[in-house]
Amino acid sequence: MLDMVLTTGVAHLTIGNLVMWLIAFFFIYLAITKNYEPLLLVPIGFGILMVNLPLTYLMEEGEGLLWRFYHYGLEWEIIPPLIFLGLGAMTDFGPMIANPKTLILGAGAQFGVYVAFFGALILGFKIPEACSIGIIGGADGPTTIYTTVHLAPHLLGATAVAAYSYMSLVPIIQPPIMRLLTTEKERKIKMRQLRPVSKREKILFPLVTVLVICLIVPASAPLMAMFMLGNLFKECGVVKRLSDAASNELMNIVTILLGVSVGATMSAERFLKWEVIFVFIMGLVAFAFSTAAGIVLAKFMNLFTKEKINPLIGSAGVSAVPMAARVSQVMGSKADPKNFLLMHAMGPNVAGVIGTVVAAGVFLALAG
Amino acid sequence: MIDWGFAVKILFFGLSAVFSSLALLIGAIYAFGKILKHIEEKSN
Amino acid sequence: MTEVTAPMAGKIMDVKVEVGDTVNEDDELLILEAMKMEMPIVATASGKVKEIKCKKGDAVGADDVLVVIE
Repeated sequence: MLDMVLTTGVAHLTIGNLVMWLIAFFFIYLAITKNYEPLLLVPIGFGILMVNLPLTYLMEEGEGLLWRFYHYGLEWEIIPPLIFLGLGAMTDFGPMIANPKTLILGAGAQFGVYVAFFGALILGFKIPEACSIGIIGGADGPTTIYTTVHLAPHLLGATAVAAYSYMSLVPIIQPPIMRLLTTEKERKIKMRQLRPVSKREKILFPLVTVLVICLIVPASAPLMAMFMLGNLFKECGVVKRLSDAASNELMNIVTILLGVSVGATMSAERFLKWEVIFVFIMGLVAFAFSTAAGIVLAKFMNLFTKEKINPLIGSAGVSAVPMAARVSQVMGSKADPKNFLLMHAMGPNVAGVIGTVVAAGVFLALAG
Repeated sequence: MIDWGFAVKILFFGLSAVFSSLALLIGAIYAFGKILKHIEEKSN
Repeated sequence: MTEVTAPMAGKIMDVKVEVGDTVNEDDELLILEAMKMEMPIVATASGKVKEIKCKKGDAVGADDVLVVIE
């Protein structure tokens, strides 16, 4: 009788498992009722639930189903680059090509990455761990996951969830910082309509970018190459089927595997630690500083340029596409309903993705 | 023990890589924009 | 006479005024949708709506004239 009871999972449940169930239910609840990143939080939440069922051995090295997803998908670095392929096929770099100056803002908004990097070091994290925590400030999920799997796999659940949850909280985190750092007059600055960008320019862009970025930071190549390949699919116009596959079916498939794998790393014994709370705090610090740095840099650029840019688009340099650009639009139209910043903010927004990939590449090259 | 010298090196390398690569990209965009414009004017 | 133009390419979700209406500056004229975001297009001047050059569901390009105010 006792033997029979011991073969059930119930007998092996720990308090930690139950706490993780609550976290899982909370994520699924947020996804369903609040619509917070549902495409990721639903599979992540379910993954957490699965890995906290005793005796299922789903994360058992070499045999568990979720372990295989995790090992071949994430450790083999296949899933995040495929997500970037899909993102590339969905990203319009037109606004950035029309106003290349905004690339600087995408670079400036990586500042928070380094603030959090040093913050994490001061809190006692090791250098590779601090790199993974810092990169949360880039606000890019797949890049965060890619970096963490390499440098600090034991923190994967925490950094991935922090990145995705702060991304969905962009409309709450950013506005107070934006209001604090800009004056009413600055928020009212109108920007000239962007020039149309020719098809040739859009086709050349991914080709030139992959050469420039990968020559400078070779370690960023897996993400950057797939990102630009996807974009070339989209812009060249002759492989619509590939572009559709990359941005729809393939993207959806790898999103499922990504979410479940990330959730599967969050077993009670790995996740319920004090350091996870520090990861979340530093992630928020990174986000806030990136937002602030983008705005301050935009104001700084206005000191030198004749055609003023509205500093509200600076905060869109954190990658979270397109949430951060939408926040710029909302803040701008609040100051003046005739102000349209959405397209202008898309420039720093997509530049931010490139900036974060470069920052991650340097981390991987030096700390990996 | 944390190697602060190494940490500062990462900061320095990181920031300069981010800014220099994006600055180069700006240059590249302006350059190919100019070249394309030139080609299009010629073909007209 | 003032022309209200589209600030970016998008789709007209709603037209809130009719020809002959009197509008004040900053009154909402149309709702434009771009990138899954609905944005009100407001009058750039006060006056009477002389012409509406788009209807609900139209796709418009950047700089297209949408409403003429007199």
